[in-house]
Order: sequence, then C-alpha cells, then structure tokens
Amino acid sequence: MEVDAARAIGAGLAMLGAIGPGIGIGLLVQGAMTAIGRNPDAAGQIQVNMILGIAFAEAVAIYALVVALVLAFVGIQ
Amino acid sequence: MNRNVLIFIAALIVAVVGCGVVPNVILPAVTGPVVLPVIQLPGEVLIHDLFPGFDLTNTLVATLLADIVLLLFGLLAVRSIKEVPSGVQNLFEVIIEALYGMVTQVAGHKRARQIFPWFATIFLFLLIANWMELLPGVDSIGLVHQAHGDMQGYELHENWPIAAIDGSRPVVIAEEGEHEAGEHISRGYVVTPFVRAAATDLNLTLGLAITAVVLVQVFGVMELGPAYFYKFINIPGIAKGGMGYMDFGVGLLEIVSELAKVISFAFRLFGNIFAGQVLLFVMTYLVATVMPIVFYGLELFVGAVQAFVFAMLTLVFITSAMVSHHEGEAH
Repeated sequence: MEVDAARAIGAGLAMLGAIGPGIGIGLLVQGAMTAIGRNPDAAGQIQVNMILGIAFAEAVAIYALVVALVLAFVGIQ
Repeated sequence: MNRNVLIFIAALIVAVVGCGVVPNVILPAVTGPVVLPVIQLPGEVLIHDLFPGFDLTNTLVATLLADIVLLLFGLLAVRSIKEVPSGVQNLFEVIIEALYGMVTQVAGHKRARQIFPWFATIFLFLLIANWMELLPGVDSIGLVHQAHGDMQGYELHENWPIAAIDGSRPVVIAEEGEHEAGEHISRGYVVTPFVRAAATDLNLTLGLAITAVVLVQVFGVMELGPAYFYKFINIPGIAKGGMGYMDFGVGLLEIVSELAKVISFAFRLFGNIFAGQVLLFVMTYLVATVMPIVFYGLELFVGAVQAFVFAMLTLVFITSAMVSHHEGEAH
C-alpha cells in the first residue's frame, strides 16, 4: 500500500516537468502571433515553424509524462 | 435574438441531461456501476508464441490494419486514373498536392521528388493509425481474461459492465497455469481488446524513429558521399588545428544528438497517443455521455498534429543532413 502511495505521489511530482515546456510553448506562440500580426502574408510558413518549435518544446513535457505513466501503470514486482 | 436564446437554452438542457442525469442516474440503474478503466502500458498479447519467441499483440494487429487500409486507399486511388479526377482519385490528388507543396517549400524542387515518398508514407500511415483509436470497437471489443500478476482487474458484479455481443453474460476463460502456480490470487477480470491504437505501443514508435534517423543518415551519404561523416568525426577540423579541435569535439556531440533524436521521436509520438487514450478512458469513466465528444474532437486534432510533426521533423532532418557543413561555412 505504501509503495502504491509513493508511486502515485511520484507520478504527480514527475509532471512538474511540464511547467518549463508550458512556459516555452506560451512564449513560442506569443512570438508567432506577433509575427503573424505584423506580416499576415507569411502566416502559413510561420505556423509550420511554430508547430515544429512546439514539438521540440513539448518533447520535454512528454518525457515527464512518460515517466509519470510508467510510475502509474507499470507493475513493479 | 429570440432564436439565439432558444438555442442557448437547448444547449444548456442537452448539457445538463447529457452530462448530469444520464451518466449519474440512468446509466447506473440500467447497466450497473461505471467502473474505473484498467490501463495497461505494454500491448496486450492476443496469441502467445505465434512463431517461436514471437507474440501477436493487439497493437500489431492495429499496425497491420492501418497498413492494409493505406494500401487499399492507394490502390483505389490509382485503379482508374483519369484526366479529370473524380472520387477517391480527386481526394488523393488534393492530399498529395498539399503534401508535395510542403516538401518543396522545405527541401526545394530538386530534392522534393526523392524525399516525398518517405514523408507522405509516414504522414498518411500515422494519420490512419492515430485516428483508428477513435473508432468504436477499438479498445473495447475483446476477450475476457482473469487478471494476473500485479494487475488490478474489474470486479465480477451481478450487473457486470462487460457484456457479450449477443447480450448474454460473458463466459470467463480461466487461464491455464493459474491454478498450478497457486500463489497468484486473482483480483478480477480484464478485457484484452482485439485492436488497440498502434502508437500506444512503444515498439512501433521506436521502430519508426529508428527508421527515420537511419533514413536521415542514408540521405546524407547519398548526397555528400563519405564526406557526410565528417559531421561526426571531423578530420578536416583536426588538420586545421586551433579552433578545429573544438569542431572535432562538437562533431562527437553530434553523435549523441543523433541518438537523442531517436528517443525524442519515439517518446513524443508514444506519449501523446497513449496519454490521449488514457484521457479518453478516464473522461468516459467520469462523465459517460456527451462530455467525451469534446475530447474525441481534441484527439482528432492531436492525432493529426502528431502525424504531421513526425513526418515534418523527418523531412527537416533529412534536408539539413543533405546540406554540406563546409559549404555553409564558406558563405
């Protein structure tokens, strides 16, 4: 029972790793929106690059998520 | 004005009835209690030892299904090619034109023809594989087994939430060896679905990631010849001396970054799709009707974006591998 509790707490703590990518994605989209506002014609290209940038930032959050998922759902004998 | 108010009230009523009354009052009375879903990380094994040392998992079934669907669509599109396209051919021409335009934009006209088949195949395959998760029946129709090991299963109720297709009470298949071992205390029953979204298995995403990164190296060597490997082991850098030694060190770090690409590719796709699946399960558990529609919409979006990101990153990495490091410095 204590092990289960520790795993649940650990999974929750692991998701603290989503804070950084959250800030990063916010900044990225802010930059992209400003750019589109200044030059609406380049919206398509900016969007593609924005999505790629988001994918890189998001990868870090996904690492945290995978750690949390493994803690939560993989049985440890 | 009056009509808008009526629409608002109708939406409110649907929300209250759908999210409040139906899942909390009517459903428990009719089908028994709503139970917390059992979530398993590795793909569930359908057939043990199909070939020696090879188990058939439900995620592999989904992968093959996605392959077949993609092949069928492709064959349908080229079955009768006409000057003025119609039907499936029309649809595919729109998709292919949009994708080809994207590749040309990133890689240029000359390289687009070479890279395009890989880009389009990865994108379309992942799109089908990710969207398969949203079909009814996937993840829900399957065999019922006794939970074993550390797994927590569903409890056997009088009003069991699991039903056989013909409506009768399901017969539980007790797994062999369970009784011989003796020490396994069964805690309930689990459903092993026949099909589960392909990308919820790390094996698929890791395999695809390795394919993509190897592809990057192959394209680099095809374009630059053996000189491509100077990117990793920078012999001209050493010959130059001075700052060249630092370039050599940076080149060694490039090897690590190439390995990191594999991990990042694999876990990004796996994490997103698996988390999406868990999200759908848990949302359906919390509010069984109306509410999950919103999250199905979200997963439709996430599945498409992840397929796009995987294909696009492959494209960008291939393009950057085909550009010579030294040409860039000369400018």
